[in-house]
Amino acid sequence: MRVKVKGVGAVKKYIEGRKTPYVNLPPEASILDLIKKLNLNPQLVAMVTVNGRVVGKDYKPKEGDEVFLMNIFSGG
Amino acid sequence: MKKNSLVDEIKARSLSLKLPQGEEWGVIPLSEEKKISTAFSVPLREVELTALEMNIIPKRYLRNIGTIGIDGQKKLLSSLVAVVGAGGLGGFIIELLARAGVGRITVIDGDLFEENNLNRQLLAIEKNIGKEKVQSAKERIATINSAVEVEAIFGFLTEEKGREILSSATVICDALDNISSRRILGRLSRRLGVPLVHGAVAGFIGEVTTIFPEDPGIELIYGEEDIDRGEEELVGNLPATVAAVASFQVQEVIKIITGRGKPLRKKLLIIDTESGTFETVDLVKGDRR
Repeated sequence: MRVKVKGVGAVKKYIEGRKTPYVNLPPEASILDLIKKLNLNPQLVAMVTVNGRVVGKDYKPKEGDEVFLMNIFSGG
Repeated sequence: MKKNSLVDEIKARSLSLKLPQGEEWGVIPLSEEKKISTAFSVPLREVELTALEMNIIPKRYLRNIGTIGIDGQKKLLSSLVAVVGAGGLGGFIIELLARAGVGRITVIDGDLFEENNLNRQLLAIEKNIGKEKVQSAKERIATINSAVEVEAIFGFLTEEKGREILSSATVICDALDNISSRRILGRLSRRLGVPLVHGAVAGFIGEVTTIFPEDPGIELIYGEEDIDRGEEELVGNLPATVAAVASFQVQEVIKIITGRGKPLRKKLLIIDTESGTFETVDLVKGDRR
């Protein structure tokens, strides 16, 4: 299964450092598996959307989904 | 009788201003407003509200009127905005609210200024180090717009304190710097039925959204992680990012109060000043899978 990953903040930098925004995952993989595969700290990924809808990290994306990972911003 | 004389006095001390397109507006200078306020022993805000009722514009708001109208200015001057946090975001938010003419501002913060605030916090100046942030906020507002009535509350937000302080607010501004307090504020705004304008920053990145009581909000943005700080712990907060986010927050407040424009409801605006891009993410919860 292949998903397209986008992000903002540190996630964006990490993804831009890869050759491609596409990531291959096993069929039943969750968002948490994706985050781990990207070597990102799951605690620092706050919000996740799949095809524009906010989902939990246990969500299982499907082939062709667009996943948006957002870091936590909390400064004031 | 007193009201009538106040109206007469405002009329007598106002001037006529002809706009380039031929329209004529009545305006009243601040010096005349102050004389009336003293003579009639009425607060400056009441003088300004009475003038606006008469379609006479306090000169200080002249550049607002073309966009928000006299009606919008009356709404701002009649509103109470609570700013929770008087640091980076809060300092700029307070500044802009006072200039826009929001009539009542409540500021809540339990912090004192530290040296590492000087890079980005408008109210942090060298001589204020060690001083209560809310006290500086109150003094700053008084120097910008003495018509604004300010309540400065020294202390950190709790559920109990928040219920008391925020229940009469028209809009609440989230100018906090940690997630646990933001979760409290999110719950309070929902329970009290008051719209919340959220803003947060880290390095080059900022985010803004408006959360009405019936909207999903803070819990969607911050998820379920038991963590209190974000990327800013690593990258800090740049001054222009803070000023940009605060500006967008104030614009949200103005839109909510005046009814002009379209607030960022159920949408999280992400401002990436590093790449010069704006992105909007829908704050809509998806189905489980």
